[in-house]
Amino acid sequence: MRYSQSLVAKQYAKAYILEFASSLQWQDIEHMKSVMRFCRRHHTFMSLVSELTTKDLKRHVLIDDMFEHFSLPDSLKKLVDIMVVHKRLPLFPSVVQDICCLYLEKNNMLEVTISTATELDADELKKFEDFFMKLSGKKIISRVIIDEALIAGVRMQSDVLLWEYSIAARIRLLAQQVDLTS
Amino acid sequence: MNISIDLIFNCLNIVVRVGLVVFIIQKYVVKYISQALTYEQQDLAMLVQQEVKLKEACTDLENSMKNQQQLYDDLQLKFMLWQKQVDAVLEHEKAISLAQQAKMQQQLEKKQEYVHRRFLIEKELPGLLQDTAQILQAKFSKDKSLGKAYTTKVLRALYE
Repeated sequence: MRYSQSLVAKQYAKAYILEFASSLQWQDIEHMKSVMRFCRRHHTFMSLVSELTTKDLKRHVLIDDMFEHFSLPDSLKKLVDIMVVHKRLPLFPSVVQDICCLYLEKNNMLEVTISTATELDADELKKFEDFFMKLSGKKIISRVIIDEALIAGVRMQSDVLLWEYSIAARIRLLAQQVDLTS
Repeated sequence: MNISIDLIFNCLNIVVRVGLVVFIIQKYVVKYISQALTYEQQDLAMLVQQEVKLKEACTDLENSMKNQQQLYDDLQLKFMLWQKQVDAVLEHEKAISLAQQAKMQQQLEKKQEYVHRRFLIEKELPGLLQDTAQILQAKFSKDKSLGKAYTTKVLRALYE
């Protein structure tokens, strides 16, 4: 996950993290990510909420429903209230994104997507996580996905690091080498 | 008596004649012969001188011929050496030329091979790699244990 491009959003996120970082759990971050993904899919959603809250039409009900639906932490409600006052609610997805990034940074965590052609058992997954932890020097939060396009092998990818050892990668490398020599 | 007078006159006549002949001989012939001898001696002396000169000339000529022969021999030797060097240079240049030709031929063959290979790579390889990927994908999808074994191999490589 990367920081949003909005400096204002980052300021909100920093303020939130300073205040509530200790009370946040990884589960809260997962919930925040789900709301963020939802808002990214529905661009107009937060603008609509912002419009409704500006007119004070069932303001609290709407926000409470959203928090309940996505199981967001109560501490975030205070931030939303401030953003409503500042009329910056459309920035909410960016703020949540930056909160997630800051949380990961503060806790020295790194999200890694482990793609594999075959399912990994717990022991194998642990070994791959340990390897990537040594590589990055950070605690790994992994997400495993099955990707048969790899043919065989594993690809571990974070925002800044990519490690791959798969047959697909070797074929790709071969094609690149041939392109370079010809 | 008559006989005696005739005889005396005959004798006198003979004497006079002989005297005349001797006088003539002494007066002309001997002088002529003496002059002729002198000339002859001078000629001889001149001939001797000429002979000496000719001998000297002959010696000079022989020396000159010897020198010329020596020069000719030296020149011949130099010419042979020069010829050898020229032959060596020509041989060397020929060898260089042959080597260059061989090298050019080799480069040409290499270039032809490269162009041929490049043509094959550009034409065949993308399809070949795609086919290989598909075949391997089918093989690994069919037999999951292969993928598992590969993962185990990767893990082993990571921790060795």
